[in-house]
Amino acid sequence: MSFPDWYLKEKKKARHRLKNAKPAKYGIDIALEDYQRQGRRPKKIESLKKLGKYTQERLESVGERADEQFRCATHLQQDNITTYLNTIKGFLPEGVVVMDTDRAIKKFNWFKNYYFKIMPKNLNKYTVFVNAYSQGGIFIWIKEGIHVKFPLQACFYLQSSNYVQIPHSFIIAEPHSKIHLISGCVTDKDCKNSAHIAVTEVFVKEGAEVTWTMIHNWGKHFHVRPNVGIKVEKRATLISNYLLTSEVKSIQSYPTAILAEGARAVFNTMLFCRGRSQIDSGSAIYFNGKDSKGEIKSRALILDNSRVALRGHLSGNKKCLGHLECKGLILSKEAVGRAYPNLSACEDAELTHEAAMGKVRNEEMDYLMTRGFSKDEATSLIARGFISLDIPGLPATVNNYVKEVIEATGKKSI
Amino acid sequence: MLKIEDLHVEVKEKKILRGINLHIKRGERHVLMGVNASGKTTLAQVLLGFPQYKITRGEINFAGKPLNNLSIDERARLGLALAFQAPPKVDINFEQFITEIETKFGGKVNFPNFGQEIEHFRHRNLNDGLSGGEKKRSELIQILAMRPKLIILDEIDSGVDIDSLKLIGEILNERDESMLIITHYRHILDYLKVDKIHLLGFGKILVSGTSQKILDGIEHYGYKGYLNKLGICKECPLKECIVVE
Repeated sequence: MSFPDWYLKEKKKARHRLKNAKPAKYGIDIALEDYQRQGRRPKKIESLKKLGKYTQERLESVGERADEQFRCATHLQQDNITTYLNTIKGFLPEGVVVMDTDRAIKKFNWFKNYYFKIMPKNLNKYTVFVNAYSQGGIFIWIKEGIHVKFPLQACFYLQSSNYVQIPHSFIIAEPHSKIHLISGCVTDKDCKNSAHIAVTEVFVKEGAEVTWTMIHNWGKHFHVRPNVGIKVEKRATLISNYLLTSEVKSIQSYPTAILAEGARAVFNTMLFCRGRSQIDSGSAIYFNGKDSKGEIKSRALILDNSRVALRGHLSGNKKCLGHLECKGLILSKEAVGRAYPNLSACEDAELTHEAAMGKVRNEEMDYLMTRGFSKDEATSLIARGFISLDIPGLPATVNNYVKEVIEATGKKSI
Repeated sequence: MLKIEDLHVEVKEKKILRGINLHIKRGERHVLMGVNASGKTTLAQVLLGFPQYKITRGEINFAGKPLNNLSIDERARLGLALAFQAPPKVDINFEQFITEIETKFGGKVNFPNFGQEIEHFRHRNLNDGLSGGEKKRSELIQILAMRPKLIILDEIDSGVDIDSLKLIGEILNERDESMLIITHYRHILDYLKVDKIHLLGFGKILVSGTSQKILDGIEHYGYKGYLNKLGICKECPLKECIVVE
């Protein structure tokens, strides 16, 4: 089956536009021409258990279960090829479609109605790049009223050096459906100097609920640009949890949600900023429907020589309730953290924010030391507690896993 | 257990304590009373080694060891435990923190019954949105998890209702650790038996004794009036502590 004409024309036009495409508003600029888009083609696999022990461990470091227990489906993309797609009988209800995005574009003639319908194609050179050259990505379509009990896991594994992974993913939750996606992004130890440039568009239709937990474990040679656009329709809910555990060369991320009447969006971001990472992380919520609600909570542990900007934007265009929190705990003299909270509100909007950047307060340190903990132990306890956001609504297995990852990463890095 | 001799303390070159002498034996419970800003909390924090205080003269010995050059955590590990008057909020899960303390101090502790109230904060972060009574319970659980030798209670009775005060008194009465109880008011003493009462003022312990007379004197005349009655004022503090038996 070949790609439809509309799609091929889209790609062709985007390739023309790419020459003049502008850099992103935030984050350091990446020379996309330095990366290969074609590389070796990883072979399809029959089971995650067929992967080597090391690869399985890498997958598990970002919340993917190699045994696939407590999961309803698994999607694995290695470089730009989907090498494994498995739906688990009895756990994935009928009415949920999971496939590679390229296949979905070929299969569904209505796909054009969703393609770059939230994310502006020309937002920056990365969105134009994905428009021009995307390969793969995950497509998830949950039909009306279907509730999926167990999370679906998707992993983007980058293993070729000097290479760029370019997935364009879609989540379409039809009215009153419910799903939880755990997506993990991870690199192979032999992979050097590569990039992950992605677009994800999430459609949460009336009364639907999408929870999306992302765990990223990159390497110090990687640039990451995950561009995310989310449309949350009437009385629908979107919960996004993002955890970065590793050093990375740079990340620029600014997922944006547009809310209709009575809709709700929550962004929880937890960042371990290590080594020489340059991180520009933000979220934005546009309250376009009355009685919409939203919350952005970002916490960064800023270590070593890292440079971190935490951004948040709430735009209250109707009667709404929103809260924004950008907090960084700086644990190194060489590290730098910046916070950019931004609120814009109409008369009926009720928006608040908290921003804080700085080291551990002496008062907290002394308090913990009176309980017998040394300065280093107290710092570690405070840091791990600081980054552990309480995430309501997360399934217990995922919640415990996120906490375990935070504990382990915290103990290792502080 | 605790021996303080001629302790002088400054903060930013301001003299706060001007020659404190105090001796608490194993298992004894002492009460330290005084007006606001008389140096009660300073003394508690100096005992724990808070770095903002400078000891200019005198010595503190605890369990046979000099404390002056030990850090806060070293003192805590020797067996000194402080229940804070106003503990700060810290982003650490309470229950997880208790486990960390227990692990550090040798394992699981059998806690007395602190009542249903602990269910309200068991899963919360330390001191996050807690009522007065909940804060005091949280402090007591933390310090009991340390298996301390000497417990310092800094205004354990402030901001708590009568029921909580009674419970705290009952729990402490069952303990055999040495205690230094810092307070403004005598109410906690309705529920807690003590061995000695000290009255702090002008940076010194001015009055000490075992007698109910001290409490009655403060109740009747107020701190200032009671001191005046004993012939003590800012301009004429006594060199020696008055002992009331």
